Amino acid sequence: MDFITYFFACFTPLKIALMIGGAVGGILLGAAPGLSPTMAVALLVPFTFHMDPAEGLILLGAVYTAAVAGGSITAILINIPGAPANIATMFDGHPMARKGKAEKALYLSFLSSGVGGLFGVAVLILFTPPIARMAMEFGPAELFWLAIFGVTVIAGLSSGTVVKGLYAGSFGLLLSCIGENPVYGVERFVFSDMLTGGISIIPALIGLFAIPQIFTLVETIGQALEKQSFKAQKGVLREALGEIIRHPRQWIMGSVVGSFIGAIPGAGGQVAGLIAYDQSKKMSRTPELYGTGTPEGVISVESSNNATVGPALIPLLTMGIPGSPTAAVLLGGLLIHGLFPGPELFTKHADVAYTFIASMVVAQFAMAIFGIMISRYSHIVMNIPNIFMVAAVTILCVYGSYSVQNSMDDVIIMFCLGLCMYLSSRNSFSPAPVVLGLILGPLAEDNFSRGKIIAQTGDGLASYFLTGGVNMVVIALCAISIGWSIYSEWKMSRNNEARRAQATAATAASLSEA
Amino acid sequence: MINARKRLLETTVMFAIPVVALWMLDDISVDDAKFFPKYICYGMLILASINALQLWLYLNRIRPISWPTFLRWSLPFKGGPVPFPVRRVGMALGLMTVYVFAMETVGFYLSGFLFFLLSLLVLDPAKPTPAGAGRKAVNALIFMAVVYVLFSVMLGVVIPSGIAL
Repeated sequence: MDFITYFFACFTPLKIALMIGGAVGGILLGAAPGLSPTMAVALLVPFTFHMDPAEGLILLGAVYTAAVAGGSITAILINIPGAPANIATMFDGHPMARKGKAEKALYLSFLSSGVGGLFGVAVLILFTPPIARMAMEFGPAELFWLAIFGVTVIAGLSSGTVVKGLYAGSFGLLLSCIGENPVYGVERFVFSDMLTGGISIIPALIGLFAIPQIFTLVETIGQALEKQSFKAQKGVLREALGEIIRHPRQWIMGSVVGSFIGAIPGAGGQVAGLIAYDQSKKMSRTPELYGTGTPEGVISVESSNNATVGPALIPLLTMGIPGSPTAAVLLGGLLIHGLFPGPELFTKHADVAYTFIASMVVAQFAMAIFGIMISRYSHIVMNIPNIFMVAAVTILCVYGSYSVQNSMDDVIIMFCLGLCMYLSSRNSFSPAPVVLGLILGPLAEDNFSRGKIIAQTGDGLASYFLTGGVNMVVIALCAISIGWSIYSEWKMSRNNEARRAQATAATAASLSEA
Repeated sequence: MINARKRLLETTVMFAIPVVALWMLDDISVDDAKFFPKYICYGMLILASINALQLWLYLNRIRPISWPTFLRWSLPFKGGPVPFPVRRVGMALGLMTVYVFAMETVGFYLSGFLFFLLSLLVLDPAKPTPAGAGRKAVNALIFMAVVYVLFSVMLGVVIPSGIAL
């Protein structure tokens, strides 16, 4: 009832202008390689200090929502995720663009984002108390297994190379151990002073994804390879809407997965996108089309990553626990206005809290509408020659890495990781598992350490980590995920061998005829 | 063609990373702090072993084992049928390295402008002309001006100023 009371409070000219400005700005910031939603929101937090709390939060919320969706533009057009949440968008979005369906992929992305975002905000509004309770009931053991499940998913995503995918994920987990251990205060793998604070996610993400892409662009200067261009055509929007209507399973599953993952503190849009993609592939009638540019892949990922936005705010607003890195920055936006998250936020500052939540509904529409309008002209950006992209993206990468903590060390770490990834990518290693390991590493280790302490006072390690309904379900999901990936790899290799044999036979036949 | 040396190098690196990490963990006195990374390293060693086994099976299936043949660099490592642009990638790497390490001293905007301009001049395969160089300088200036207005003026982000802007 409070929500309805305050819903109309966000329809003042200034607030509407802030929502539109935030949506457009967020899309552009999300689309810029290396500028993540976290950074976009972080950059804006100091500016909201001079605004009314509700107006400041409306701007931050609109930028947050739109930046997650805007990241899909670069993911689709130049194969660089604009935001961590768009990692899985590349898997089918970019192949679609390569097939000449860039416009359709972009429309699908914004429409799915709008649908998923609305679903997520509905969850935030309607199910705040039960979802927050459920997520908060997850103990260290459940959260540990959930993080491990996230890592096993990568095996399925690194199509054809399960071992390398798992190895890269483990390497990411190992990278997350660099620096001081928060529980025991001991430094690990610190062979240089710049590693004392560990590896920050944003510079690592920029380095792992953008630097190899920059070198690939350098390799292909003079050749039109990665840059995808298109001209807006009539009827594509209708076609995209048709795809959304034809694939309800994908966006329903994506929205549900996104909402569930988003409500769990620590997990975010990137994990939701990857899990939604994996599950969508497994439940599809045509899994072999995944990775080749199927609309189903884009719909499931984009609906899931935007569905995390609303639920990620549930633990933040109700208990002060941010559900994602961007939600953590939003927490700063609340605190600079003297607003402390918790039940009091909904009683003492109900006007701010509910106006902010209501504005998130309107922001989804603004994001979808302006996203579609902006994406029509994204081909202008894509007509820039590779050589310009190399220089501009490098400068943005350096700038993005530096501005997170105003640290040159981050720039050097970004550059070194990127160089290593470039060399590894030439040996079929993918950056996505490394990033996932790096993101989930602290979550896994922290909960493992806490679980270990609890287990030592109880029935022991095995009993604590290997029993309990949720634990067993997540462990089973881990096993199924790995087993399915191995089976898929075996099946793919068998199909490839059959195809190779057919091709050899056909060549031999044509040679004998000649 | 089997890219044996490339695969052997890859397998060696896959073993080397966890071995070095385990060696570095030896210095840590608190056992609990090395518990998690230690088990990750064990997992990586198992995966490296599986990869080595896959490599052995793969090589064995394609042709009989003949070690001297395996230790030959093969074409795919150099980028397949299209020659790998060693010079261009090397120049880009050099420019980036100088840019990253000079940024703090020179300043973000000046170093960024110089990096942008030099990248366009050095990496462009087209024959350089004075008019073309002028256009590139204008492009670099416009890009850095946009970055300056957007981030420094509008958003007030702190960047390394160095000896210049």
